[in-house]
Amino acid sequence: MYKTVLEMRNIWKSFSGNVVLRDVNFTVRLGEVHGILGENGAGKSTLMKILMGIYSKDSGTLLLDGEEVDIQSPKQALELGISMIHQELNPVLDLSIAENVFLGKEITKYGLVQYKEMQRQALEIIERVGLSVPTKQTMRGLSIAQMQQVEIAKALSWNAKVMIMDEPTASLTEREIDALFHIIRQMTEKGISVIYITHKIEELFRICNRVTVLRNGEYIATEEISETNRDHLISLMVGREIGEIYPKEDVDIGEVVLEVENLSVDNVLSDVSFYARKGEILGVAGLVGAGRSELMETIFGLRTPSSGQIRIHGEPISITSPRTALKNKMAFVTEDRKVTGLNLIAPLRENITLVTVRQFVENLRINKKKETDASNLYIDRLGIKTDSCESQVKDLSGGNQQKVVIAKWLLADPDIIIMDEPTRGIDVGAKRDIYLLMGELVKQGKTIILISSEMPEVLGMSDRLMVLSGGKVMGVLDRNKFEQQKIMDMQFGAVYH
Amino acid sequence: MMSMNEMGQNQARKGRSNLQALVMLFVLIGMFIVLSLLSPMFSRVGNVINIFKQTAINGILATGMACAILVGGFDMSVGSTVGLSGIIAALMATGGQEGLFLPVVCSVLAGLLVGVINGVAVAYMKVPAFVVTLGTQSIVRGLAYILSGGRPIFGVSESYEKIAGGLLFGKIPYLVIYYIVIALLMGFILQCTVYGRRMYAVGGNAEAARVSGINVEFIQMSAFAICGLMGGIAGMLSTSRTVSAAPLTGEGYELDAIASCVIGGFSMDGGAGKWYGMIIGALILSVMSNGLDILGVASYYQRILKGAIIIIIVLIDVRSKRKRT
Amino acid sequence: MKSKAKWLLTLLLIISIISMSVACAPSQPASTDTGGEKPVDTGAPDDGKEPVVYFCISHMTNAWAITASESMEAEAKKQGANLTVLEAGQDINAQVSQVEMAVTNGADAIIIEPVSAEGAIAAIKKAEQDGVRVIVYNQNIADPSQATTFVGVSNADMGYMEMKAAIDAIDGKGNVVLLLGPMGSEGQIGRSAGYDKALKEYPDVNVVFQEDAQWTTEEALKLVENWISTGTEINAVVSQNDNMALGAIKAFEDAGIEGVPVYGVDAVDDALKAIKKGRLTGTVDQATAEQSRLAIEVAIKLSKGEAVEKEYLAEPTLIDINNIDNYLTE
Repeated sequence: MYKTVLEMRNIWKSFSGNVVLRDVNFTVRLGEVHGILGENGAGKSTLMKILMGIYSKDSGTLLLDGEEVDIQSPKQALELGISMIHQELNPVLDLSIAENVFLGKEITKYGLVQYKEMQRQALEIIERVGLSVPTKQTMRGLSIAQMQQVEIAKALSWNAKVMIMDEPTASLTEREIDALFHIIRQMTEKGISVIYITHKIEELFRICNRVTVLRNGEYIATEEISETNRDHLISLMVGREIGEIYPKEDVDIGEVVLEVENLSVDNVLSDVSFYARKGEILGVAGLVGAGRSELMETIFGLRTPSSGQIRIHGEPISITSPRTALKNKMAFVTEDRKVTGLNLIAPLRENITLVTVRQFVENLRINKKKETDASNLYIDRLGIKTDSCESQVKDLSGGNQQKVVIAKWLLADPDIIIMDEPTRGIDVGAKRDIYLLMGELVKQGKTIILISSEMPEVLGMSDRLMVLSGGKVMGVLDRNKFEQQKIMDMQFGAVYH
Repeated sequence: MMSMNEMGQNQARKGRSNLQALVMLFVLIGMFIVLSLLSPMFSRVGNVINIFKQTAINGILATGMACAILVGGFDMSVGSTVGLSGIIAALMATGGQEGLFLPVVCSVLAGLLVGVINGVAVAYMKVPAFVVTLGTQSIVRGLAYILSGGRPIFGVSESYEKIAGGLLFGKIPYLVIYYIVIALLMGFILQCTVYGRRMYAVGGNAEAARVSGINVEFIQMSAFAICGLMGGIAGMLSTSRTVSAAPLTGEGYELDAIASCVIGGFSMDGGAGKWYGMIIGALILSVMSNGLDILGVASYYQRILKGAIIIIIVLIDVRSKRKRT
Repeated sequence: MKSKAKWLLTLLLIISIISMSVACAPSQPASTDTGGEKPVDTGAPDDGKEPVVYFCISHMTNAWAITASESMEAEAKKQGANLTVLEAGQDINAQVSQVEMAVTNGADAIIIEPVSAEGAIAAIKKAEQDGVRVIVYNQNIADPSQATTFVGVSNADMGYMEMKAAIDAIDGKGNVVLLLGPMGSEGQIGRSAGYDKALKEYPDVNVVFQEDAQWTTEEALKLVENWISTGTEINAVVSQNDNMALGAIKAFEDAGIEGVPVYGVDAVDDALKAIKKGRLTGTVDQATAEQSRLAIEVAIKLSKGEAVEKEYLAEPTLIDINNIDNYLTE
């Protein structure tokens, strides 16, 4: 019936005693798109890295076209017809397209590189993936989507049988995604199998034939996509029913705390108005480039507005820097904790008290005992897993790092907490902890503004949802009017009244 | 993906940032023991005081340099600042001028001014520290030549000579006392005050510090200002110690100061380093130089040794960093 | 922000270029400006005009160099030469370009105190080929035949004179320490050769330490402190310049040791004052003023086309407490 191209049987892998893959089985059929679904930490990348020869498995069997193979290096994987398109593309920007396609296997004659021949052959290959640009051109001038096409072309040049794509749509526009899916379908028609890693469940339904779910390093299930649905996949992935994933508390919503009126920032935001109330979680949705983070940065004094007004408790205020935002009892859990949230090389204690260290000063001196006590209190309260508050933050897992950022702000006792992608890249358990904490905070009468690209998250947690597109407010929906399709439309610019 | 794995390694990684300073402390003690065995004169009180005397100027520069390095920069101009402030002090303390206030205050302020200029250019105008301080290095050295007319200045007043040369309890030169006081004061600032904490925060991640409401530019600027101030103090003391000043004085001192910090565990990326590290680093350099002088090792070999030690230490640092990722 | 940074960078660049050109430019322009409008003139000057002489000095950062350039200017005025002083800041490339510039600007003779004994040869050769006579001053080049003549003082003679004085001061036996200039510099090689000659005559004198102190007071101070620390008896210090000798004196004073004779070379003002005060035992005068007088005299002769000798050596003199009053101007 179906011809199996690749089979991974009973794969085990552990790193210094921690088992990260536990008896995983996985098969890929000829010409199928096979999705792999799993939370961060589920073992997806480790499995793929074993396939690519980057890691070696502890035990298990790998069959390619029915024959057992032992892949020791990425080069060997490539020669066997297994290629990988990484999420982070790393082309050599200043080399030409042709040179990138043939990187590592340049066409030579008498030891001299045959540029003309390489350009000719490269052109043939990139045309197969729908790219028509001169192959003499350097990579630097290409868009991300085009670079990805070159990467795919490169994989094709190795005569790939199995192509692994790791989050290929992460930085593509909708039109580019359509084009990519077109290329994928063309390849599968020619008998190439694609392993498609994503955590966007919607994409699985658009492109995949089957999907395998991993959780905590274990194989959970493989489903025919036509015989499953979204909620089922989510529950397989997180191991709980969907209602349990977003523990939404019922809280009495009070008076308006934050009002933003006609806020504009040149080229980024135009005429944004909204309000947020006490005890409320206001969700903010929108695509990349919709201006969500920019809006929050402006409210927090990191950007200068060209016009507009911000009122807190009815009082007009002028926020010119994060310091004034802090004085007005605001907090900002930023989008990228490593870039704008944490001092990774400092201990937890210094990160947790980064904003509030003045509280612990006695006669010019920081009272380290009090500081440590306060840090430990929040480590306990947020369930941060660490040996001590003196450990360096960089040694923590993503979820624990995120909790440190939140602890830092909670110590300042803010009224308004802006959370920009607070659960990005963290494991299921930590996500749940953060959702529970959000519930606790609004119960205490705080206001939370939640920005998230994960639709289920904003739908699950928000009381109201504001949708932005192109720097404008497309509409604000109440919880009882949440409809995923409507929100998607609004994200693409449909105005909702 | 690797979270479990990462957590498993936490134990081993813990506290590695302090490790280097401690390792260097053992290196220092080891050097001291070996040199004492090689030459019985080495560990005599008189020589130990000598070592501290010879550490003081570089040590004071290293305390300032540590600040600049902590906030993620470094200062190539301190050596020239030593020259300039030394000349200013000498001009005001020679030819029968007995007053101390003027030479001390003017030379120290000159250093501070150079530091502020560096700091403003780096922090507010966003010019890379290397470029700014290379520029001021040349400008300040030029000023030192102009002020001195290119000549060394001798004949500093006796009272001025006493600033560094005077003895506490008839034994310990004031110069050593100043160094100890400055190093401890800087230790207190870095370790115990909000200001010190902010230097670490800014050097560790300036953007995170900014979002957390810290005035990043001011912290950066002031760190360079402190570095300049230390250059001024070092120049002022150098003139007293040698009872003379030359426009060339201090040439290359910035490199010794940077080396002291790097040996003492300060990361050139900023945000990491312990206050005692800069003292240990400075002591290692001068113990090495003093010990090898006593053993009669030619200075050319000393240069090679110094360079090799710096590279080895940075290598250890880089390797331990690589293991972490 | 970015444009501001650019602006500042440009400014910095301009400042450093200006400061560099100021440093390299003629530091003391002579009375009349040659300005380059004069055509390249390789032969004798027109009658009645002062000969154009360029003095290329390696650096102007110590007392000796300043004495040299000042005495040169004084002699030029006295003997009637149009002198321009060019300073190379110890940079051989700068000196080479300065020699080239002097040739293009129509020099009648070039007096050069070379930055490096090797590096200056090519430029000197080129100038001589272009018909400009070159007088090497104070420090000879590695191949003296390339220049027309050398005016200087024998470093070996000075070294011998200094060491002999020190040996006499300790009655022909005991331990001496040597503070040297950077190894390989003309002064160090010559003076050390003189030391060796004197030391051979007195086998009872031991050199217990010798080290490069980079001509500086700070380095000499540190070295002598460390040598005192070893507990080795030091009977005399012989230093290759006065700056280092003054550092040695400070080290002995700090250590509370008295009566160790210390000798230097150069006879700089402060050394002379120190001799008067009894702190420094003696110094050897390079006869810098005499060298300058000879150099200008030879330059004028050359510009008139007269024949000159291959070498002119000024006579060094030992200055100590006995004859100090002849040298102190105050």
